[in-house]
Amino acid sequence: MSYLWVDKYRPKTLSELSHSYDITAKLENLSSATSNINNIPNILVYGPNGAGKKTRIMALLNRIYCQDSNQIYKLKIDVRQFKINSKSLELNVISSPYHIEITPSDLGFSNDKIVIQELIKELGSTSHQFTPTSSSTTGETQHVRFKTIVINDANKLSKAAQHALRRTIEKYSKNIRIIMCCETLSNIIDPIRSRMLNVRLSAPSQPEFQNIVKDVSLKESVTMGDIFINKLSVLCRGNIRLGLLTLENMAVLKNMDLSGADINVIKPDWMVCIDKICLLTLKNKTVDTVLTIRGIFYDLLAHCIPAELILQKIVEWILENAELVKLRQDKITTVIYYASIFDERLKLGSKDIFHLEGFITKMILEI
Amino acid sequence: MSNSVSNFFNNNKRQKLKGDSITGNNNEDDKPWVEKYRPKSLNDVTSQKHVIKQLQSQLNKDNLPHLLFHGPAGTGKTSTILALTKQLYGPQSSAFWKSRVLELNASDDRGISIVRDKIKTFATLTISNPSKDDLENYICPPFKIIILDEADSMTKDAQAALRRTMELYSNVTRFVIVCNYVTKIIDPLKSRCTNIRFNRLDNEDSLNRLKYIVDQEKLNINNDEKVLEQILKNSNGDLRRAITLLQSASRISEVTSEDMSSFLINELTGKVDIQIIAQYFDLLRSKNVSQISQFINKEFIQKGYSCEIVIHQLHDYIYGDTSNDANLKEDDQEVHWLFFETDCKLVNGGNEYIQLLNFSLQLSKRL
Repeated sequence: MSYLWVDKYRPKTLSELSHSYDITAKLENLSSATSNINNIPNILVYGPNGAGKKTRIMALLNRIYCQDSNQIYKLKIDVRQFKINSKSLELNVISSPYHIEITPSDLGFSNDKIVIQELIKELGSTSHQFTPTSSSTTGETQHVRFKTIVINDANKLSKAAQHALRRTIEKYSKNIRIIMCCETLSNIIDPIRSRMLNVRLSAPSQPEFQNIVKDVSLKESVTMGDIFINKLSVLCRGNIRLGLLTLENMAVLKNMDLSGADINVIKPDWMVCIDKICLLTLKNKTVDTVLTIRGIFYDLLAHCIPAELILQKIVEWILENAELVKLRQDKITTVIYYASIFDERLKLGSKDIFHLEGFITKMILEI
Repeated sequence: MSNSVSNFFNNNKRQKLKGDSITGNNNEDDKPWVEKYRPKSLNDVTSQKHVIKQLQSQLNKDNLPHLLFHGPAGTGKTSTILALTKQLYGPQSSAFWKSRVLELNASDDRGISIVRDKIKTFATLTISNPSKDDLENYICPPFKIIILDEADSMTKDAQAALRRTMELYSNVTRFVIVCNYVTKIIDPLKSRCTNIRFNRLDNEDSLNRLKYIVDQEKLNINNDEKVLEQILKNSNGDLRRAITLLQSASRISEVTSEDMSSFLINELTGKVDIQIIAQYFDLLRSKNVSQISQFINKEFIQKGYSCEIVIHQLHDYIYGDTSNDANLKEDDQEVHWLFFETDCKLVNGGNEYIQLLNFSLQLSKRL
């Protein structure tokens, strides 16, 4: 079977993890044999995209339940049905014998509460007992008495669902543990934060990132020079997933040789589109430009690029290229001010295209 | 009669928690400390003296009005009422307690149908007879108690349906409504209950409670006075949060043999190091757009700090902390407005990066 490099070289055990060692050490200690394993708290992992939150969680579970024997990675995907009034909802549930993984926000804002209640109550009301399949020499093995629920995108849970979690977490704490995974803490209500062990995961630093990329390219026998790796780390900003995907792309394109001095990192198509939008707004400040950009926006949205991301990338572009296009500081400040306004509107409103266009028109007027 | 009551409860959701009884009481250690150290009687409740006094005097009269507890999270509302019921009917796990107390919280579905069926059925039941033992040890007043925890998440309709029920069965049932925001409770309910406000805990009470737990758990903390104060400071008067924090910190320090220090506490709550905040503030004064944006990206976004916490801490740094030379004018309305606006945008789900950037640039313009 052939995997993407991202998956192929994903660390499977805690000891293979390659950055933020202090956090790894903490997780290792939590699950180490000397401590009472049933004492593990609920955990809330947060950090930027592609920093390895999920990898870390899975590695932790692997340690807890299977003593690193990788049983945890035998996953199966089910479709669970939930009945609300007369409607029935379907939710994809990824599960192993030891844990289940859900993304309740898939169901939309108003329904996630039901999933949380049903699923957690169902799992919480039966007791579990797992004997770690250990090859370890220590005579006594501890039984693990809980099942784990991993909740993805926890910051997208509705307030109602989070409230539903509050007491449930405490009530069923004997039979289940919850691990939440999210990008930001801002939308998580205080009672939840205070009930969980908060683990902040930073993106890898530049040298760490470069080491990871170098490691993978060595294993895949890709030759590459410093120029490429520097450009790659600038593009990815510590996002390992993006880094490895781009590396694989480039390597296949250039026949495994990335050592040339004049090599350019290929950006994803949508990022090229964003460059185009920014250049257009700076060059021709006419109504026609707005029309052209509208076309591009529709294209991007049709390809499922979230409007929020588009906005963020435009802002990043402005900041990065400010000197190139000779923008004054106060103009940048104004553009970002409008970005912050339209960013909020995107969340409050429902038609993304209106707000994106509103922003672009403001930007044309202001710059 | 008591037989039929326990039959009723066998069909009840509360009893479905079979897992609880299987694992038994022997693993008291597995419980979160918040549960483990919940007060067992009213005398154990260390703070909220006015509330306790009031309840004690009611108890002596063998009668209780309907109660409405409101106040911020972690001030002991649920603890107080649970302690009260334990004093009245004995331990929470006893059949007698279960026949007399119905506890519903936001994780139970509390739509109008539940009010009509479950609550009403329980309210109409004749009270069970206490055994001889119970009579000797506990007060056993002639009424049942229904606790509606986290009642602010009940719908208006469900609350309205409660009105008449509360009055009709007041000879055998008392209602205790517990909520954070008293404004979310409809007026007719408010007027039927004795309103009791729980104040934010003062530091001394909480500190004593933490010290008590430290003693009981035989924790070894260097310089504990300072660490405990840091814990209290980070939890903003929320005792539950403080206890959870203490537990997480002790568990981590236990296994890493790392000292329980203010640094560890900060890390667990996701707070930024105060040095970094100071650096950030100095940078804002320099008004250099590109440097500010780079700093934000490197120190906050990539390290996964929550933007909300950064802003909160900056606010404390500027207005709360007198030891630095931030001295902004206290009455600078625009700056206050800026804090308000950014917080609002974040709560509405705004993009962390854009909002923090806008906040920083706008603030630096005004410094």
